[in-house]
Amino acid sequence: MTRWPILRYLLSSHTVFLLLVLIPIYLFVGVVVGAVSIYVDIRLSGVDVVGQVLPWAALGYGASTSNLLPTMLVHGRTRREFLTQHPIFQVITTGLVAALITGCYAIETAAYRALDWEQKVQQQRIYAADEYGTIFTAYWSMLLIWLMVGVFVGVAFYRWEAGGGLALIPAAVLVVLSGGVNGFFSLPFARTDLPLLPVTVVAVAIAYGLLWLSGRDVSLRAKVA
Amino acid sequence: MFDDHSPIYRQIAEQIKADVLRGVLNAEEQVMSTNQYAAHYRINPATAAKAFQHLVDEGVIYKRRGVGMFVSADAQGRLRDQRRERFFADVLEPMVAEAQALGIPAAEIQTRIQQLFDQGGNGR
Amino acid sequence: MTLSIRTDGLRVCYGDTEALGDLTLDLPGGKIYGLLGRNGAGKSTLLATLAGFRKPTAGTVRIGGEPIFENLPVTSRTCLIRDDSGVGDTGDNLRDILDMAKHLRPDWDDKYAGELMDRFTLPRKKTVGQLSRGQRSAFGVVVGLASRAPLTMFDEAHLGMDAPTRQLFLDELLRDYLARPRTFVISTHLIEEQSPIFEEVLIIDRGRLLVREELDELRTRGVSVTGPAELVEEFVTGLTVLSRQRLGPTVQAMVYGLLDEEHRRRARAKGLELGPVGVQDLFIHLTDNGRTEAEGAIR
Repeated sequence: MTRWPILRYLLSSHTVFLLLVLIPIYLFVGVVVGAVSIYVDIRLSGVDVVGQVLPWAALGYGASTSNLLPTMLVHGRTRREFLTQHPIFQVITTGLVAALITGCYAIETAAYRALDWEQKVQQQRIYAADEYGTIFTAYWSMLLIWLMVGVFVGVAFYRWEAGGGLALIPAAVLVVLSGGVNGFFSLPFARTDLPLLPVTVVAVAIAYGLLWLSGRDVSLRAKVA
Repeated sequence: MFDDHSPIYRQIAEQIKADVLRGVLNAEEQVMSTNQYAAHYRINPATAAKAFQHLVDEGVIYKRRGVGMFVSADAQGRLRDQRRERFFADVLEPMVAEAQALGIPAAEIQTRIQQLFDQGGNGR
Repeated sequence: MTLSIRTDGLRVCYGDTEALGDLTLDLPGGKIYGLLGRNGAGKSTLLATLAGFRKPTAGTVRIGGEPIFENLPVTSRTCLIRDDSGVGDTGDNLRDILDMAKHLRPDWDDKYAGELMDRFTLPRKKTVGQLSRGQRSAFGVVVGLASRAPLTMFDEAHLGMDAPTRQLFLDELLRDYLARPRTFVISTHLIEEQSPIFEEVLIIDRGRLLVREELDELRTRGVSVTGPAELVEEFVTGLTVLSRQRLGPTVQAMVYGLLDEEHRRRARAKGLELGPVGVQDLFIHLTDNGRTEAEGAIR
């Protein structure tokens, strides 16, 4: 048997699947922008618009992936393995996705410059459309936080059923506090002046701690849906 | 295949004995292994093994190391002797008791028995 | 390789409800055990706890001498397939689930899994959600057998299977058991159909172990005594009577336990009729008796 079996399984199936879903989405964005440009002048980054839905997609995917925990147990693995290997999968996968998206910004920049279009980003973003380092970090921060929070919420609902609703409170606090810093979920009162990396690390660590508490000795439900 | 009321191992042993008695299994013929028996009849191999041990203890079959189980040379004769001994107690006495309860006279039974013997020749 | 099972004072509660109470078991490895009990008796809870799916409220579970809960060397060699199996997401196709199991199970036999898929005629490209109830059960059986886990348990794995598929399940299980001994625990309600493959039978009732007996012994444990009421009552005094049925002046009493020669002689002398009791009837009356006793105690 191989080492890190859960991680290997996730990288070989889930990561590949997620990348294969994202690439056509961004290709489609290119097509839509092209079509719209026939009628109006393009003044917005299409790639950046997709960034509006990504946090929710990460949250939803994270919550759904919590079903994997009982499945792993059925196949003889432990909660501890899942709770160490799944987060590593999250870090690697969100990094790869962030890199892919950063590449999309770069391609878009080149295309827009050639066509002399304006590549404006959403108002709350902490980067301009050609600041690739910051784009990468901001996306990675956002995806990782929302994904970790999503897995935590999913496992909490699995464990406590309706009582898992309480998990939504710390989850909301985490995404609101970090949203101002990475520029994806910014409310008027959010602090935007804090440093991105330390805030990300702290938010991920708290989400992970909550996930650990919810999952470390969770019982499998009597009936698996 | 097996009824739900008596130990399976005893039912297996009785079947094999019946096969030996009727000459379906002959002397020095190999019998199925416990595993074959278990798989064929969908029973636990330990149960089959118990039946075979029972038959070994009674001298009906014997083990040849590394080869398998075989019917003993004198198995048929031995079983026949056993059955003969039990015939009167197991078959005849209950029959007479039943006949008495029904009021069937001994002479009528004797005549009928003679008829059956004549029809069937030398028995089965 | 096989694994033994040992529990000491095992207790499992769901909130205020006690599902298992003070259960002590010592089951040597390498046998096929049948786990019987009425609905809600605690069978599934026991199996889930033995597999490490659930942490006991009190007491210990040891598999192969080692604690099971969160102990990878043991959990990876233990496999429990439940009636809803849960071997994969409803949206996953069967081929992907088998591939996942290959990653996760140290003793997984991929070739054997493929053979079983063919024998149960399961479609590899369909998802779990597209399967019929019986196919889903059959797929659980494939995953359980191909796991080659030294301790493999099936919790009503036959649900929804038609009769030929259930036979195939027993055949495949026996075949693999004969070729590579391991410990099997099988919970079932199909007593007459499945009990012949058990070596030992465990009956649990209301969270407690009622009977643990070799199957063949259990088949001799029940005796029905029929005759005139007075004589029957006199005869059964001091014996464990599971049930009584009255038909006019005649009573049929079901007695649990071995009758010695002396008892049998007395029965014959009194003209009482002795008859065997099948495992299924015995089970029904053993567990029913517990229930009436309990009701009596509550009142």
